[in-house]
Amino acid sequence: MKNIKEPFIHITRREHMPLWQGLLIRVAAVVVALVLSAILISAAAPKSQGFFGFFGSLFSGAFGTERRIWLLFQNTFLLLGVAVALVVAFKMKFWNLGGNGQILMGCLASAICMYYLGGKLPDPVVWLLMLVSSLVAGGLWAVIPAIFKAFFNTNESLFTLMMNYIAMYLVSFFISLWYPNGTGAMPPLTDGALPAIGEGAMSRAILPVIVFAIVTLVIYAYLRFSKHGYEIALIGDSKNTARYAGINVKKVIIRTLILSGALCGLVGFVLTGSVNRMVSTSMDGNMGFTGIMVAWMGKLDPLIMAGVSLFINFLERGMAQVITDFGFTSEALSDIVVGLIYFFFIGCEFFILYRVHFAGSKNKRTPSPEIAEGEAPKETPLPEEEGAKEARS
Amino acid sequence: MDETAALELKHISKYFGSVAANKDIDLTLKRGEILALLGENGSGKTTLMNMISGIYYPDEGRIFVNGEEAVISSPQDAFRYRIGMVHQHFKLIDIFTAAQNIVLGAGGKRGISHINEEVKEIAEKYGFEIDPKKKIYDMSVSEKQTVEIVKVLYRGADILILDEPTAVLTPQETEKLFAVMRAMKADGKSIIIITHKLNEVMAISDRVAVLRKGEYIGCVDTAGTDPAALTEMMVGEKVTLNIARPKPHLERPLLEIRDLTINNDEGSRAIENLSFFIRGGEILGVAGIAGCGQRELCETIAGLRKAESGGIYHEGESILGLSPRAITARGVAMSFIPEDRLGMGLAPSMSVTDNMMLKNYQDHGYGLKEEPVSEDDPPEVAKKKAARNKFISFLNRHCPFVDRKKARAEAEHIIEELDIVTPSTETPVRRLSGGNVQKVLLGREILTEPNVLITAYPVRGLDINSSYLIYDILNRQKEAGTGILFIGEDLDVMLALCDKIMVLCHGKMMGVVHADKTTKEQLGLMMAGALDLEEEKGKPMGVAKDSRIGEDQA
Amino acid sequence: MISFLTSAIEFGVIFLLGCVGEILTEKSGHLNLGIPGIMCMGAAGGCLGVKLCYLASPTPNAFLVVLMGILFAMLFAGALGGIYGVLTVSLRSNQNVTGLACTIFGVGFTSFFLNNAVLTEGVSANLSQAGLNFFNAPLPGANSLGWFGTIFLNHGVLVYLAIVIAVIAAVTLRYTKAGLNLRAIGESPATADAVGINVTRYKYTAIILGAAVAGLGGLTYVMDYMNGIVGSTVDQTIQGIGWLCIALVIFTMWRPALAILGSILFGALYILASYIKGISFVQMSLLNMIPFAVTILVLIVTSIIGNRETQPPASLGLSYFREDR
Repeated sequence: MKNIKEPFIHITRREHMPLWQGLLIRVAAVVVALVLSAILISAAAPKSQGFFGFFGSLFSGAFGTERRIWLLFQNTFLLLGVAVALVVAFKMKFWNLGGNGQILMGCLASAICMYYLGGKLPDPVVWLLMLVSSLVAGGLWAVIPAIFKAFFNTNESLFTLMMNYIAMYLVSFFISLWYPNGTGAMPPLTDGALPAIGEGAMSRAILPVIVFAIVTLVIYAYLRFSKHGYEIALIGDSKNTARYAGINVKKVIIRTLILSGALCGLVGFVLTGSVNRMVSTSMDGNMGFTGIMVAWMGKLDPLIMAGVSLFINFLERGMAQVITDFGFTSEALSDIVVGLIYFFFIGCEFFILYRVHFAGSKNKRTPSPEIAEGEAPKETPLPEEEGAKEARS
Repeated sequence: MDETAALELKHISKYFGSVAANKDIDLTLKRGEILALLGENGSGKTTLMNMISGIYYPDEGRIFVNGEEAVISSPQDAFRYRIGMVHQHFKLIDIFTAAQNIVLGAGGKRGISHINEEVKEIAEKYGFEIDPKKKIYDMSVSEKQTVEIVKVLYRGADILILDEPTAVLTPQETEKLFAVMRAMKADGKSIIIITHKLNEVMAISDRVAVLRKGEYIGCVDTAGTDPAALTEMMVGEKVTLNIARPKPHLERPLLEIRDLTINNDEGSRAIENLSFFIRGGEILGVAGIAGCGQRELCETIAGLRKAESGGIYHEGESILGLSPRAITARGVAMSFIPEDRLGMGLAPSMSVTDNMMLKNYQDHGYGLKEEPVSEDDPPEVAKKKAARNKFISFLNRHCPFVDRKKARAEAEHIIEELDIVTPSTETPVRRLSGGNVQKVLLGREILTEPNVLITAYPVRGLDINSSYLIYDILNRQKEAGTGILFIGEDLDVMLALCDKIMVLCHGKMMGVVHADKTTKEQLGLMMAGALDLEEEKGKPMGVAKDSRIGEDQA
Repeated sequence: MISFLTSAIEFGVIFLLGCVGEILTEKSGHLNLGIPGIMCMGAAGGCLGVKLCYLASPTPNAFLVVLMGILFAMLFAGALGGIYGVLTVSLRSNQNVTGLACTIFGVGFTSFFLNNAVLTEGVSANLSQAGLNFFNAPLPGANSLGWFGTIFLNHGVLVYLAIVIAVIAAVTLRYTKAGLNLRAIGESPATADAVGINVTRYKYTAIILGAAVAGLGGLTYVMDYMNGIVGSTVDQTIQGIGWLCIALVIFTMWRPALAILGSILFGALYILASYIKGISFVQMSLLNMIPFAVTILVLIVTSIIGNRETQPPASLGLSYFREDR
């Protein structure tokens, strides 16, 4: 008898996994990542507050005071706004990595209105012009790559990425134009700023919360129930089929990216008009990228994304507190923990999509009668691949 | 002990999800023989061979090579056992040269600079014609196949598996291939050829093994059997194709194609100067080997591809250049089953419901009903009602939402009507089996009540029962007066089902024949380009005497 | 003018290393958007390596310092590349999302690590000493051969290392079996798998090696270009450079040999602003845009021309699962 060497690990695609099981795996991944962070940080910190102190600081940083809660919600809804803007494009498998630039363009357009028109025109007129110009500027920044994608199949991820930097230098151009002797920073403007509602931290937080709660619900309905949403999903699934259904794919790509960019511009409008009342080259706060993570972790569903956005901001606000409490000096620690969470979350997806068989443990399968008709159901090539094929031709 | 088999499979099973693609299969390949592996589409031939070549790993069972148990968990393992497979879809790198493809992954003795000479040596030894420096994307199908076979030989394979090698070849090219196979056999190689063409089985093989629905049926000596017996093994029971062909009641041409020329994606001619017409209430078959322009023709009629020149007329009016939506609105429907089944016509990740509304979602309204205006209404009431109705229809036309309720009802309707097996209307179509996917596609097209139906390969990969159901559906449409363009693969089916058959060869029309007045041999000759009826008769066959073109056209 | 060219070359090699690293990765079919983070990791690791030398001895051997810098830069960058590899190759995750996560992590880690673990007291002086005297030590003849010496010989060892790496990468990809195999994987992993190439091993090798090379880019920025002066925004600057490296891959159409010229051009564009006399901040912002705008132009032009030989690897961005057909 020869000793038979079987392959040690054998992977097959899962057909289906119950919702709760998938949820459990994801929650477990996040918990493992958090526990790992807690252990590492409490071990390495100059002023360690211990393993449980980590979680205490985390919660106190996010929810400790009324101000913190408002700040948490403000950031949550701003990030959600960006993520929702990006989802519109992602549903179509259009990789809009240009969120940062589109937000900045929205900020810049609002700032230009405030700088040149603030105090000269009645405030409501300025507000309206700010809103419109922000939407247009954000939309413009997204539609340029979209046009080239639609007509020449130009790689959109790299195009939008480059647009980020052009937007950044445009902002720095205007700042140095306005304040030639300054340090490159811009003081907050008062003329033309949106009115405060309520007091304290709430006054700045309330507008983003309301605006982006509404935007999220509207986009949710748009994607799910509207004809446009159907067309977007169809193009994302199979461009050939969309063409066959008589959809003008170019038109939909352009239309959708105008929407995506304009929504990013709207975030810029709120950032400059209400939250910060000025513009800086880093005002996007990297939300264009974080928004991608939120969209992806939220399975491109605006309602789940709301939860993810809350969680990410909870971590960021909480980590800020951890950093102070534990005696760190660099705020970048928060990025590390968030990055770690991303890694675990991304990795756990594998165990939801695939089944791993180890040598020795025989997984007996009982054929279920669910789908059976003489023929093995071939998993269709994922639409992503189709996109790649198109890119070649 | 030279009597040991080159390859022996014992109790091999493989499951995809819950479906068994191979169930408890035994197979023996002797040294120096050509074994034909016969079976219908979807009978598990390719899956079985993929397990021998290391692409899949069997769930159960054992494999023996030269009498010793072998574990083949990767293509490397397969090559170690000197097993090589030529896949149906060539596994070649397009931007590489022939030589680069051939030496790819092989342990070659000499450096990369010598590959061209090495390849030439092998080609000469076996009598292949091959240009080692030619890039794959510049090659014809048969050239690519040659590269694939040389590749396997280069790596010293003793057991060759050829997966449907003749499907893409002309008869002449097939003969050449068979000659090479015989030469390889004489050289002591063992060969498995997968096919579902009986005449080829009889011509080339020593023994035949038959699979049916993933199960092993038996193995017989070719010399001691005949096509009828093999067919019986393959399909289970003797099937005389008994497809009903209701008599067409002739109408004036519905769809007329005139001097149509189309280019393919690579920019070369796919269809050249083609003229034909379809009447209402008839089925016109299109026969031709794969890649002779059928796909491009379908796409052009449906408005998805640009024509270089010529015209397409529907009820006498040109529809060339109209948008796909406008063409659909005129009643021209297309169901095209591409090789990968889901590439066109269906959105694989979407549910059956969502796929139902693919073509009519634009017309979805709020479902507001217009009030009927009766003659008894006093004039002012009638006027009010008319205005109201106008408003309602305006609202419905500009409704921004899709009507999933309506689509779900349609989905339920066709699921019942066509006996589609699916867990629910909300199941993504990619989780359905091939036959059900095809029914969904065809069902949706029929739902639009077309007057011209273009259907390509509607029974591809279907079992006999499902196929007959599809023929029934088509015949019902025909009787309802629809003109049907049927692009098929199986000549027997086309002879039984179609009223007339048009044969294409490399994009050129070879002639149109009446299905009840022709023979398979004649069609075969035409498909291979050996018989051109158009030339013989000296007049264009694709122009109707009672053409409608010209009535309102110049 | 001469000092402009010298600086252009010096800055260019940062791009060159990042670009060659990304080309190696992309040739295996993986679009690694984590390159900016990975280059940061290289900078962080390199600084640590240099610091360790000074911890061991206040007057360390020059060769040892450079070697440790290179070793640790490759180690740190390779580690993040490894994480990307595990996620995208073995766990088959979405490459765009994984890459972005790597960038977020890598940039954050670098900023934190440099501030907390590397830049303790006195280390800044050590680093700049190492940067000026060791990493920037010119070749013999740099000062005696006039302009030729100044432009071509007056660079630190990393500059030459970068060019050597680019040439080796070009030769390997074009003329060796390993290169042929790697290109095949990037075009069609299924085909490569079917002929018995170990797809997983090649992918890991290409990704980790690519990351390590890109990490050297981060090291070059800190130790060679900045002369070992680690500013507080070093992570942000390298991130911007990293995105340009990815752009440069397209600009040079996946050819490491072309990348040598392309990177010097990018280097020249990047530093142009600081070499024009009397330039205002306003004009500087516009000048800074040029590399990004040029890349967009190249993107557009190559996509319109659409030559088969200048297209990205066909399976770029897709994960490969053998039974998935």
